[in-house]
Amino acid sequence: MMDISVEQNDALTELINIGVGHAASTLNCLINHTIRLTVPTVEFLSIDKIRHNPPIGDGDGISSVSMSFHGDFDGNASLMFPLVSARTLVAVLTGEEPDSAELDDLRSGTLAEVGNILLNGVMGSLSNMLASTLDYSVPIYQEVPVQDLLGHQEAEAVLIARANFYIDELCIEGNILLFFELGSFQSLIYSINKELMA
Amino acid sequence: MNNLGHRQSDLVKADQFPLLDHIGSGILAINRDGTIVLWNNNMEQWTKRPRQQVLNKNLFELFPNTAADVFKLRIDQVLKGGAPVIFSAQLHHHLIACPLAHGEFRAQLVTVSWLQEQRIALFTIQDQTEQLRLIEQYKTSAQLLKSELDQRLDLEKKNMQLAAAIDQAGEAVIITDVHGQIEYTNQTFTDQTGWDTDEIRGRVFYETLFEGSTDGFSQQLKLSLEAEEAWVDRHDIVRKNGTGFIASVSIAPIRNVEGDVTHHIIIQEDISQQVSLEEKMRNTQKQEALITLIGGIAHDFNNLLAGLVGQIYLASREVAHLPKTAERMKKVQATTQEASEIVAQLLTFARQGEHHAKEFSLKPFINEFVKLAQHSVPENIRFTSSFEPGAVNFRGDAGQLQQSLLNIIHNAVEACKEIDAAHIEIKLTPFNSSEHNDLLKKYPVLRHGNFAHVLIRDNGKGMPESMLDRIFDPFFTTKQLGSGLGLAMVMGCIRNHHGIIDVESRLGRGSCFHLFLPVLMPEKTAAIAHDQQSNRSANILLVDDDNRVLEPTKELLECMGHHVTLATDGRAACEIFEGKYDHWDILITDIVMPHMDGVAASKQMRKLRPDLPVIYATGYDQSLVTEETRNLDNTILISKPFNPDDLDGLIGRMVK
Repeated sequence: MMDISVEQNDALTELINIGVGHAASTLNCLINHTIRLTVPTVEFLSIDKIRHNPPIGDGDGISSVSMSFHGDFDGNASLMFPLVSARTLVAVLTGEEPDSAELDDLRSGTLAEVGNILLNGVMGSLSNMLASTLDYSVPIYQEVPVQDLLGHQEAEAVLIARANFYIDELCIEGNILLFFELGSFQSLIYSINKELMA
Repeated sequence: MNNLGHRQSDLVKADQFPLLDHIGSGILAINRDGTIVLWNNNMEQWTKRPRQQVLNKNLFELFPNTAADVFKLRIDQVLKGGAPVIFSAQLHHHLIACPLAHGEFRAQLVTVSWLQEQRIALFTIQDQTEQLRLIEQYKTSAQLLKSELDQRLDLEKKNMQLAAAIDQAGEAVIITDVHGQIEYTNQTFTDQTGWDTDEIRGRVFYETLFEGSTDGFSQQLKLSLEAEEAWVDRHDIVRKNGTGFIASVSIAPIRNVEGDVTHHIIIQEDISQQVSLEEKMRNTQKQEALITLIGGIAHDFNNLLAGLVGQIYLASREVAHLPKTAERMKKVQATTQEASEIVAQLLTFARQGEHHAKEFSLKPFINEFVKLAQHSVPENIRFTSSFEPGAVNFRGDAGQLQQSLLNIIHNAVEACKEIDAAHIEIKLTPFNSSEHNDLLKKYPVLRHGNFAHVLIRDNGKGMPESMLDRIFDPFFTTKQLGSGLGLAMVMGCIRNHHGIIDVESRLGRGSCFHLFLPVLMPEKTAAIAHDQQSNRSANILLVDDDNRVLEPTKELLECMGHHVTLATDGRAACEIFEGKYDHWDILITDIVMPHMDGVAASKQMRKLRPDLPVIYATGYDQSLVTEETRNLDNTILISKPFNPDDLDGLIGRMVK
């Protein structure tokens, strides 16, 4: 099920990189720092594998922005950061002290917007390039244990893209997870194949 | 206004969503070309614009900041059916300008979503002004708190440093309340007195530490404290175990910011060692004064004796045919000799006597001494000796040292009279610093160099402490017939050998003398070989500034068959010598003389006659002769008064 060809994987990586690139230019417009975003790896895994071996450390919980999508393929898109990385990212973007308690409130708004931009970039790139029509829910920001977040997902396949945020000298690693519901993964592959043939 | 192109069906009337007027968020909606089609009650209140004024108007024209790229590009994505976008209050503060008092605007979290069915973009605006204000307020408070905390930590750090400094200070520190009741003491105080802070807290310091002081003193101190005056003095402090020590004590009031005295601080420095050093210094000065006085008297006395000996010698020859008179002259000669010996002891005390230094091992020396001293110790007193192994080579005057030890033994014998099971022991050991910490404190010089330790202990009647300071003073004696010179001579001898003498004694428990003698590596002993004695007549240049010595000595030497020429100082002697420098067989000269001293004169003469034998005859300070001069070839140092026969023998050996 999760076997995709090298070409399919390359195509997906490119689509996600394009989306991330758009997101980076949007982010650059709204903050005073030069931000660079890269997605070095993209891979598909089963939800069970992800639950057994979460892609992200679960020390103090994670910070995530999620939104669901429906249409030609259904699922959920999430951006996940370890809490420490989320705090650092917000501190850099807002100029606050990274360990100040007042950031707890700042974090939700700022990370929701950053996550929104990044997920919109990725999902926009996917839907545009694959000529798919998708509806989206409003993004939700949460700080929860990673297992809580993965627990209620009913996905056939999960696409994991590790995203590196380079802000000034700082590199912050986040994870973009696209959970595809039953049948949606096949629809995605089908769309990619169509695109590749075109 | 750019609302002409929209279709009527695109317009959404606010009354289609009556519920929107009853929720806490601002809600507005625009159609694809930006025309506002929905404006709820909250938006009316926040913007102070009724919906009649904004509906059908273009959002981007009505609120120009929304047309900025940072908003417009993302809103356009939504209008094209893209995913919802969020504008956070933290990154943008607000999207729609909703003025507040003081020229501020309402902070907003805005979510823009596309409603496909209605074909509108719905803006949900949450007011985050209060949240941001609280955050700001919290930040200010936190900053203030942090600053206060930093200051407090800084203060605590300084206080801790101060407390550590006080606790670890070299002086004892006591803090009392205004009545003198102890509240705090530091570690040094505990070390000094044996009192822990907890034990002594609450006690009045002058009643506890100055125990035994007169009531008048305590009263005076109390008055000083009440008068808030500083007080500095030396005072005896009583330790917890009842022993005492002398301390320099300073008491000062501690005032609070209002200037009121709340406490007193007492700094207490143990100055026992300093006082002991001062005492030692006073004793040394006293000894030095005695040395100078006795040295001067002995010098004059020696010159007189020298004249006397010469005259007696001559008179004895002249009365050789009168046996009775000759016998009396012999007795006079013997008495003169005794007088010489007393002067010799005085000179030893004054470190000016004749000093015949040579290298010898202390162990056989003490062994021999024990055999000799045995004769002076009565049979009812047990006299023992012991030795510990170790090289104990010593350079010094064996005769002086033997006499010194004998003097101590004589005193021990005296102390052991009428004592049952009396015992005198003499012991020779290498000095072991680890066994004598008390002595190291008293004589720090013992830390350096090697010392042999000669110990002479008796179990006799001992001495009271008050006597110990005086026993080395000349003429101090407790014996009816004592000269008071025995221990003075011992002191002079040991000092002359750069050693240390110490005595411990307790009344009824006996005394113990410690002699610390510097041990030297074996040295080559310079020896002047004078093998053969010649009886030939010598041409002698005799130099002395004292006619009482000069004339009789001249006669004496002439009696012995020598030719004598006189000079009264070094300069005159040089002039006489230079006239016919080959003529002289020997120079006999005093050392201390006006114009030119004997040493300088002999040096000048030896420029012409390097082999000239020289005898320095001095009734004064042998230390004035440097080691260099002392070691010159063919040079001898003798003390006045000299034995005529010995002098003749010396001349015979030196003149070849």
